[in-house]
Amino acid sequence: MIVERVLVVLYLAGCIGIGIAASRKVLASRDEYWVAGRRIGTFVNAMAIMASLASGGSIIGVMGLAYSQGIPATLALFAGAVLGFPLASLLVAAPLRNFGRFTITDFLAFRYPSAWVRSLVPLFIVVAFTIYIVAQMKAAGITANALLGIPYNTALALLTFVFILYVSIGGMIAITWTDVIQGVLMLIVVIGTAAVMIGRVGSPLEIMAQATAVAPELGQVTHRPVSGYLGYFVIWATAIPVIPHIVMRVYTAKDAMSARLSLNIAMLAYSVIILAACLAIVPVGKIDFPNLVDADQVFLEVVAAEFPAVVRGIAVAAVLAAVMSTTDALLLAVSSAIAHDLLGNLLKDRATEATLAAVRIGSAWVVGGLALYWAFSPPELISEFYTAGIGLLSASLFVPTIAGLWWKRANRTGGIAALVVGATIYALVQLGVIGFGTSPILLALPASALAMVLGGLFGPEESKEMLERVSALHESPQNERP
Amino acid sequence: MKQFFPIRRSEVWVLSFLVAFSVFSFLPIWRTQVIGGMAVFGWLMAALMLVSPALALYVFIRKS
Repeated sequence: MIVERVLVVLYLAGCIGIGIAASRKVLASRDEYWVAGRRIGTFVNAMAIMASLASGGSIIGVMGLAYSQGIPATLALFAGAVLGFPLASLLVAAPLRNFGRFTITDFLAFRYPSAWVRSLVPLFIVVAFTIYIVAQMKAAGITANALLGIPYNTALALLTFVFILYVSIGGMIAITWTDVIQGVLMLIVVIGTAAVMIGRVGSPLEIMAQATAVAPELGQVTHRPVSGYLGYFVIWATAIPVIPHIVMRVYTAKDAMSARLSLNIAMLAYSVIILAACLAIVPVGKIDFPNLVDADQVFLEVVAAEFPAVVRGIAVAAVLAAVMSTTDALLLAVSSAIAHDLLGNLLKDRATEATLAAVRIGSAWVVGGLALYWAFSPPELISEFYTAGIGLLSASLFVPTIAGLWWKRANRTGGIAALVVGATIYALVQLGVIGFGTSPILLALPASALAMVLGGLFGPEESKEMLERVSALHESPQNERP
Repeated sequence: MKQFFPIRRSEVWVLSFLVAFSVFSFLPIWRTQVIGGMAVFGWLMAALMLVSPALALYVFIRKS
């Protein structure tokens, strides 16, 4: 494992180096720290977005899932997130980029001015994303333990220290550049492995034919009804347009059109990774290793069987990169919810820029430290929890955001009602207080929409000034109307 | 439609198509139909993953 460990150490040192280099620029400015000065180009942003979404689950998890539950069900889980990006680019990217602030809370608090919105939205983000971070940390520790032979707690502490360090001092610029490297690494490793499989066995159709001849369940929907996946599909499709670490990426784009293009380019790249994994690597893994006890090992088994140590080391680095590229973006989003959304408004008239910078850095270390403490002994069902957390964000934020951008009758009453009703219904169904029989999101979203409509129709009309300001968000040169 | 801020017609079509494609893909019939060893539902999901960003990109690039 010496070669693998050396490559991973080099990779981690590179991440820290980027953080230190970025810190010279970002620590003195909120714009630089949270949104990289709003000048990230289309392709760089696309790669960073792709890496932010593609977690460890997108390499190890997707292949394990396809191996154990079949390819159709796996694609259904990931297609929701992919669909969410075109929706985001059509519905929120241009007006939010034109809005030109830092977080989703900034927009909602502007559209529905209220202390409730200012405090509830960041609170939901902190809760949901801290769980998400713990899940990612657990994946990082397990991966490093399995691939490098390092004890779980040691690996966890080391990796966490590295990404908290470069996030806290390097902000969005450090995250962008590390994510670009991580995204390229993932693309090369997964597509390269798939290409080798195709070269060895034949086209993806031939691979599928051979694999399903020996393991027909690989191509079937056998493990649960299709409707069981509808909830996951809807959660991710509706979460992406409002999920904080993706919205922050919209704000980093150099203009509205660049934001829209980068979201979709990112998803094309992400789709290629998922499809290469599911339609080339997993079927070959099923043919060569039909009886794996731990399905999550299929990718590593294929790589170990096909490639020399150096390539295996790069593959290990790619898996860790996938975990870290998501976790760093999540950490910055939670830090922004605390340091910008909650504390920033309290401190803005009283604190110097140096104090605000200290708050930003401190927030990242506190959140990262707490998540690390929890990750040392994480709950077994942490993956279920974080999907539930994302569902909470989707249930509470999707309707107020979309309506706030597009519906002229959307008002403060409707916005707060949609936020609270969506979150409450989702939590009650998720906790079993309300029996519903399928995914809570399928009840919470319509309830949130109904609350918005009733509030909008029966509450006070929105002021002309607010409507003019929202209208202006739709009227940049990049977003001209026909 | 005066209750809504204006949106380009081409973007409305893309949105409608994506929603319709998603609903169509989740129809129960596709669960049991198999092509090339895989349920049609799986192929539809794979197609959705490529078509949805590609279609949106096409619309934006044409516009720009």
